[in-house]
Amino acid sequence: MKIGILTGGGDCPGLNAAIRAVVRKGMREYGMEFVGIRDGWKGMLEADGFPIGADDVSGLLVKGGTILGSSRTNPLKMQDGILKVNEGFRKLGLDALIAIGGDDTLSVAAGMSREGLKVIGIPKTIDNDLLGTERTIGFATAFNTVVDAIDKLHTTAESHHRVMILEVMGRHAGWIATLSGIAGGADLVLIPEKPFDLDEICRIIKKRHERKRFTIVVVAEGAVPKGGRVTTKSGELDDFGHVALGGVANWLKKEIQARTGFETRSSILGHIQRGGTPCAEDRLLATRFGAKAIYLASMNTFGVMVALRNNKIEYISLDEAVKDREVDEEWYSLAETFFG
Amino acid sequence: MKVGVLTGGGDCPGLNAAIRAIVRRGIREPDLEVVGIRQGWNGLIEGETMPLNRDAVGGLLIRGGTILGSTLSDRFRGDVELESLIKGYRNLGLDALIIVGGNTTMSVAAKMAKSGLNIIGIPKTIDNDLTGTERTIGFSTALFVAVEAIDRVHTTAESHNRVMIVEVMGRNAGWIATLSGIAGGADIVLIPEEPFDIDEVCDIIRKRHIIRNFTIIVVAEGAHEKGGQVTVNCDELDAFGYNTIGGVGNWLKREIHKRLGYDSRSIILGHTQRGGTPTVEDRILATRFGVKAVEMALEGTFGIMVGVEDDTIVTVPINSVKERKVDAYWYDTAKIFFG
Repeated sequence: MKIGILTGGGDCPGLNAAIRAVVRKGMREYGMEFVGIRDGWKGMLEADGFPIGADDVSGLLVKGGTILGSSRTNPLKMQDGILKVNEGFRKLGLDALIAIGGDDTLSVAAGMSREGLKVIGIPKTIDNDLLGTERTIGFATAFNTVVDAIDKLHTTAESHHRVMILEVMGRHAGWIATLSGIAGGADLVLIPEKPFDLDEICRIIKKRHERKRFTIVVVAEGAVPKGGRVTTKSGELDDFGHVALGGVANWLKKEIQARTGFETRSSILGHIQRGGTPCAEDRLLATRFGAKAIYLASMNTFGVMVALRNNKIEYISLDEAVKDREVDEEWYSLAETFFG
Repeated sequence: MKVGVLTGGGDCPGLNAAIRAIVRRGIREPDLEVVGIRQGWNGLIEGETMPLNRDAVGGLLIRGGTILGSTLSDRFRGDVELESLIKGYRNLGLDALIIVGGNTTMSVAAKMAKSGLNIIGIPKTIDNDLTGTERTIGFSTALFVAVEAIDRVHTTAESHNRVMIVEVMGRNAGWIATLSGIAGGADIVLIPEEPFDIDEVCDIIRKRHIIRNFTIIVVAEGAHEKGGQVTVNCDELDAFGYNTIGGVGNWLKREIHKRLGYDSRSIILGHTQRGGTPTVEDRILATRFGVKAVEMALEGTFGIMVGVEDDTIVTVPINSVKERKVDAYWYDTAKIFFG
């Protein structure tokens, strides 16, 4: 059996670990062959692949990013895209395809699966916002990075009596902000799911500064004031129709400083959240996902995504998977327990 | 309502985070007072306490260890000492007691609950070997330390053509060894649950060295040969009657060198696994456990231990808590990458 592997969307730590697990188990237990598809769905359109052997995946467990490259190409939005992907599949001599990606990459996988392509999805996104799985590859490392940043901000906030605002990734879902806020001991956490009230925020900060002289605010890039709109850098859209978000921290900084008179600073973590070596959790998750995906291929089970459910690796239909998952009430109210 | 907090057994990162969560959740209730019991059971008997208010727990989230102190002692297993624990509880006028601990501490806590005291348990142990919860406070940090060590050993093993053996904690259960082995990319993982055959181990190494010139072995301190016994450092027992085990890493090093002639080295991580600042996972788990424990106390639900199942915080009867071994799924996953 000849299996293609592709990685799509933004890179994140753990992609290589998943590739390694797929190849190691597939070669050893099923005698399969592997083809790496370059740059996500773009490589399928262009039949651009290369053979991957045991030596190619050695040392990959700890290496961030993806050796396959990635892109945001969406064949479903291109003329003859579906046809070309099928052609690429044939030209490369594939029997099945494993697609590692977030909601965009997997929505293409779901669409292609409906067209008859034999595909299995592995969920990755630092945002952790895919329905059907409790965790996605990349999330644990991202939020470790954020907590590390909060720890560092803490010491300087204490020393300089400041309000420190940290902007983290999270376009529609505030998973990174909420969990890193809890683990970093943030005094306020603002997420897209809960539009905020600026007066309320300033009231909390003022009250806090009666006893303490600093405040740490963690804000997801997609957080919005009640009745307001998200802050965008420009009007540009990418292939999947997303705007480039960001800037809410700078806006908050100006507003908070003006309203409270406290010295305020903002930091924007940006792409360091998706870089570096995967943490232990992501290595474990990627390894478990990869092993399960190749097992499913050996059983001829396609059109599915592997998923973490009840701390076990299971699988669900790709159609079910490609929906957003928001931060639930229980998590956010836990963060709120420590506000102020 | 007066709620006591006590930490028992070996220290680990995340204990302070749990104490902080208990206090921060507690002060949201107008008539709830949190009292810290010093030095584990000793403090309960001797009435040695410290007030826990918001200032006392400032900055505790990231600090390893326990500000309350802890004791390892066997005297609390017998009925005589149980009476003094009950007396201590009553003397302090407690309405509830939150006990943070591992296996041994929970077994004492269960006895206190049976005697009618209002007890809530929070599971902590770097070994992750308690039933009723998928994770215990301290495990994630220990795992992190072990994986970091494996990463470091990797680069030197590659450079020097060596067999490197990393001995990690795990007396009866190989959770740290198995999960750090998977996450660190170990070539062999040996755990107490799966007695090993030294000839087989050497065979895997020999075959591997045809294509690679180094091997990383992660071994739990309680791992032993088929039909063999655990390696014991000395005959001394600690206060709970446990042997001071350890040394299997050194034993393996000698055997592998003797049988294969490869340059072998062993490192023993020891107490570095329970030190340092807690990982984000441990901070979150400890925070969730602490908040839940206070909410159970407010609700009047006692005789339970909090736990995490399916990523949700749950409670189980404290007297049902037992030791939990590594299951076949996890060890099989590690085995995919052997050799």
